[in-house]
Amino acid sequence: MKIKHLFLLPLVFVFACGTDDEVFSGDLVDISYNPQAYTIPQPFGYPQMAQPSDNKATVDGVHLGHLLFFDEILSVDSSLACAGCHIPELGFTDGLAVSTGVPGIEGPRSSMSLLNIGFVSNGLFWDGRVNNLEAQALMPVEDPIEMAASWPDIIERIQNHDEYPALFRKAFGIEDRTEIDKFLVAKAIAQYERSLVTANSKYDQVLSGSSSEEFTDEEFEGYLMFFDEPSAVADAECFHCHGGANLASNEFFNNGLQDPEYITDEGVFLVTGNSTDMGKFRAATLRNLELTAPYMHDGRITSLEGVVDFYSDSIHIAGNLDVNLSEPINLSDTEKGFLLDFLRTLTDTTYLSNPHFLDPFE
Amino acid sequence: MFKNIAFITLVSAVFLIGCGSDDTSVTPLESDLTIKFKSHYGPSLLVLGDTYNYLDYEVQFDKFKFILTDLELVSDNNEVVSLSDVTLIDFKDAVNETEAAKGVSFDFSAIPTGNYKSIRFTIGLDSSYLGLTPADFSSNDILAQSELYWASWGNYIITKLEARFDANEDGNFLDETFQYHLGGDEAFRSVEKSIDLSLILDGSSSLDLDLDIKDILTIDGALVDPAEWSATHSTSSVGFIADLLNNFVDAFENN
Repeated sequence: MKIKHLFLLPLVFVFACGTDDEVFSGDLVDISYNPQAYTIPQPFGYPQMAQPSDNKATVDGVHLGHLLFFDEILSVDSSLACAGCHIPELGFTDGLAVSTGVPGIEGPRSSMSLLNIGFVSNGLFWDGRVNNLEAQALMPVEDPIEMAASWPDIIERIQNHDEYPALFRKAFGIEDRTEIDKFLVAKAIAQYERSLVTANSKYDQVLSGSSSEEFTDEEFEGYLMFFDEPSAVADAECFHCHGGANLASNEFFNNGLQDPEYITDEGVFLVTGNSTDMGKFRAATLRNLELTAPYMHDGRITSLEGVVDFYSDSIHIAGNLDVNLSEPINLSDTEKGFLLDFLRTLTDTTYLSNPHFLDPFE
Repeated sequence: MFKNIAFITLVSAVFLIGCGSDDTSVTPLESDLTIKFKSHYGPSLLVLGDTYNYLDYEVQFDKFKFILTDLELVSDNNEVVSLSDVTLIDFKDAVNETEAAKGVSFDFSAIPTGNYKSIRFTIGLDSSYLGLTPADFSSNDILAQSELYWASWGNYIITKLEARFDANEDGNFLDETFQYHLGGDEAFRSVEKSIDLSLILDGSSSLDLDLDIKDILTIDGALVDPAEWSATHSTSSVGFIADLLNNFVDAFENN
């Protein structure tokens, strides 16, 4: 073999590889890629939202995520978007006890609010099974009781879409539509979810002093009960599990919802296999409670009044019941009223006037 | 041909020597170190959810975590090596003997080689953290976690120790409970524990730091009765909190 023939080998190799793969043509390179950082709001009392170093929010990334979040293209029969179970008007929940997927099958758990979800830093879903929004966004597409699709099919749709490839170029700088994959889809959705920040409830306004709003006497009594401040009325001490700016926790609890003789959902135990995690669930944010009924991981409590009644009088004694709930607090009707009045100050509907939170296709 | 080879060899040698002449860096003498915090209940490893005897009760511990700051090694020459600023020691995974034996582990690299005589740290947050809140940190920072901050007191909760008790061996462990959430402006203590640690070049060493929960819960020679102290949720608990924190120091230094 003469040496000059050796120069042909790489070409042969390249063509051989290309025969089974999609053709990389660089069809997007003429579209400008000029990423601009997206500023995520930091409401009063909240920490700065941490973002993964390989997926910091950009204006184009959040825009793409906004479209994908509301697009039914992600489900097997193009009938269900992420927003189908996370409806803006319902605090990004769905108003159902348990969510229903594309095949019409009910899932086991209630849809969780996505407002301020970017501040959660220790496990997502009710059972904390994934650690970040990028990993979370991958799961519903192939879940047979959610979107019931396959990622290869979804990616093919998006790659052949008239508009999405250019938007992926702007968001992530890809040069060819064949570079679109499920991880970029998840990244875009995660960026959008991190941008869903709102904290303009009466509670926020009173705490921050951003307006002339003041608690009523009843709301204030409820506030004192909630946070275990000195008060003439009973302590409810809700803050142990629903504390901090987001009125939530990064810990998981058995709140005595399920009768230990008839556990229907083992919660975190299904993830860890540790008996100490039996029946534990995330203490979800209490923000916008009025919008997110029904309540608890399986939506078994239909009203806010029912939730307060439950914690006051009806907790089941489980082996790993959170010790903060070990004694019934037996609130009077007046005290329950105080607590309810306070909980209603957590409602914030101002975000609904911002198109960023709404369906971009309407 | 041989002349060309000799010339190339010469040029290469000059190039290599030339490069070396400006390079004054010295390979640092460094080592790796793993520090494991292990909690015990008397002679046993502490396993969350396991049952132990406690006064006249049986006890199960649910939670044990604490904040530790300014973790440092002190060499025989009194040189101080800083290892970390803020660390959360959380025994949440100690749900069986295997996990409890692993302890809560932290890996440190590039520690200068040498002999070290002590390790020191602060349990809790010293006065430099006063006035800070989760809003001062990034959401994935230890000090941004809402469950470690008590808004009513305007302080961080630097220790959480929670347990449940069965008073009559009927399997109901809610006869008594305690939730010792320690915090406050003065809720920090310095610890310096003697060690005999030798770190060698490119070596990998391990240092176990053990503490016995019984030591923390023993005041005036007796275990704290949960019927008397079930929580630390008011300013009237300040003296009790101080006792427990002092015990923390002893539990580390004397173990």
